[in-house]
Amino acid sequence: MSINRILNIGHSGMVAASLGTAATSHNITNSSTEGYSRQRVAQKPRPIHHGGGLAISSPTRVQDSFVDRRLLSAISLEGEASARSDSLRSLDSMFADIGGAVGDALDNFESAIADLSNDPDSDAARQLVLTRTTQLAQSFNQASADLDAAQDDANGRIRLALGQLNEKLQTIGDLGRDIVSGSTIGEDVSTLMDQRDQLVREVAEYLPVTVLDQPHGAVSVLLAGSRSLVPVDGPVPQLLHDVDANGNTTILRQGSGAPEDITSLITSGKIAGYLSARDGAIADAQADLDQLAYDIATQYNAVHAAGQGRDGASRNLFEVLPAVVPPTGSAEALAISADVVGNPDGIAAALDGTLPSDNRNALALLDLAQTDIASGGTASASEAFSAMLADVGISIQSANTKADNATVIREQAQAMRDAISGVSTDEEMVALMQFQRAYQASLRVVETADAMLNELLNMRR
Amino acid sequence: MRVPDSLFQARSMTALRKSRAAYLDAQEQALTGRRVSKPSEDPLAIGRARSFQDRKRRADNHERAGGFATSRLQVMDSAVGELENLMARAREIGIQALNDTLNASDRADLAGEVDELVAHMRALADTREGDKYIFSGLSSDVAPLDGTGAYQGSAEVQEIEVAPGVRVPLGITAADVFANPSANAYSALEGLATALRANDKAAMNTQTGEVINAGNLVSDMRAQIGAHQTSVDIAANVVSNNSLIAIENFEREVSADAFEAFSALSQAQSALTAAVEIAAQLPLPGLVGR
Repeated sequence: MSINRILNIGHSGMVAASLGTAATSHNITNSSTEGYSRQRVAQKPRPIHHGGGLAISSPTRVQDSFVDRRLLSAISLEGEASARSDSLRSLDSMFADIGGAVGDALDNFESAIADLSNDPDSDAARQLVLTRTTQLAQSFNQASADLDAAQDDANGRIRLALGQLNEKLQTIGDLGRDIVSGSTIGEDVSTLMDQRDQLVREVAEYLPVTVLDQPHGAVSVLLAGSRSLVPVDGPVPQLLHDVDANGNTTILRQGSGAPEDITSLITSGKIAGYLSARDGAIADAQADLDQLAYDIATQYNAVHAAGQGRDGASRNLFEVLPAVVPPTGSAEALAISADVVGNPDGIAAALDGTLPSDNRNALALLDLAQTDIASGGTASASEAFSAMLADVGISIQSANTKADNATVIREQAQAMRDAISGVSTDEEMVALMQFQRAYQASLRVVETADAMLNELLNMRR
Repeated sequence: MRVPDSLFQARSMTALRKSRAAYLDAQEQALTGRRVSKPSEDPLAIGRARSFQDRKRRADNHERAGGFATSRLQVMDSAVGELENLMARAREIGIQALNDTLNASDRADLAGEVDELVAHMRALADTREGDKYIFSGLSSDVAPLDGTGAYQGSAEVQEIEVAPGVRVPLGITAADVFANPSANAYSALEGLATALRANDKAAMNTQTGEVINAGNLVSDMRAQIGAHQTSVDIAANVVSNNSLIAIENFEREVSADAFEAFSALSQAQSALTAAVEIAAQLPLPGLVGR
């Protein structure tokens, strides 16, 4: 063995220690960088008869693909649950204080009818019925508008998310091409891969994505395991939005062919949460409110029109709502009848309007408060509203619980990923000391070889 | 298990987040005294609370109706009580007039007094509450008796709901007490006055009998008003109990127990303080410590 070989062995150790120190320093510097995977320099001994010393590789990321996939899934589930919970929060405020404005208006309306039945000839009692009827209609109108706004908010969030997603997907595609070209010529592409994986996790927050590993460090990203979002080659499809017959936002994927409606494929991620809240609890509350408004208007009209005002004429109390099944839009359209607006004498407290103290129809109206006029004839208006409150509460509570659970699951998955890929500065400190000592030892090898060479040269003098 | 630096941060952040949320909840309960106010906090309790609130409101409505009925029945009882006294005086006049020591002039004087009683009776029949004739049934805008003493109101009486499913007539009509076909007080007094002026003892005797019968009927009618008032009072007791039960149940569903609320606040405060202190004591990396 030549002394030069010993020098080369020492040199390879110094290079390995330097690279190791560089990787460790890189790890320490990025210990708080989101999505960063710690890097390691792989070393393996080179056989003595092949020159000896160390063979080293470029720094590689430490990761577990299985754990990373699991984290992606957990991120999507948390995104869905938290988005649903956030979207339903407005309902909680809408019906706070044991029922909110609709509950109060319903109470006040029934109390006004009760007061009218006590004193049917009282101008004040008649005026109060008009006021409370108007307020009841307005509270339904406002609640319906608030529910519409909650749905519009979900639609707006979906549209906003799609714009951001298109940018992220395009960047993932661009990074993929850089990774392939870099790895093909042996460049260190770890940082690019970290950036790409972090973007994939950000996409997973909104959509259910599957990542398939491809040669040269590339990946392809699929939606729901079937529709390509980022191909290895070729252009990245665009996510577009459209509007369905109900005015709700739908999601389209524009690939090489005609746009495809992929709304039903989105089963997790924030967009799924917005869709679920919009088409689930919010739509259910709107349907319940519409049904209750329709039942109240129809039933009170039937009784009111059977009586007479002070002038002996019969009128409706509410404007007639379209008899459609389901009665969509009834809460928005509920209004006091134009026949009684500003006309307290038009309130039909009597069966015979010529009798001033005839309260028989007012008593019949009062009976309606206790009659099963709602929910298909199974509950009074107040009971139906209480049931609706409970349903809304259960939906929100369930969404909140799922969001909490999903966060725990995501945190566990994140902890598992960090346990493998995260940086421990204590570990890095030990590694730093190891590489420092290794460098010193390799330097000593070089010094020794140099001394041997000097000895050899001195021998000839 | 490898423990990367990020795990310390993540755990601390989670603990802080949960502790702050728990503290906010506990603080709200302690401040408002309410255990629940939003549907998501306890959906079933909110549904039940709404139902109890509904019962309380109905009880309030019935209490107002009971007050209205009591006011009307008291006015009516007062009027019929006066009528009772008036009929007693008429009976005394009728009996006094049958005394043989009285001459035609004396009986004419008594007839004058009976005329005054008739006028007073008409005034009682015309008793109003506000601008409503209370003895005219549903026709409260017309005087109950016409010039001849015939009833001209409606046969029906207003009913009022004073408890769930309990409706009480709001008194009686003049047809029941002033001009009842079976014992007409108005006709009896007018007949007595006529008999007195005619100095006709037989007619006086007959009319005095009519006055006595009508007087008895007035007493019966007054008892009926009393019975209505009793019904109102019984209903008021039921409604008052219902109201108290509804309030109690409502409070049980939504109110926070003060001791529990402050204990929870104290616990949440301790947990939050501990979480903050632990977060502040995260281990320094070995590199920094060297």
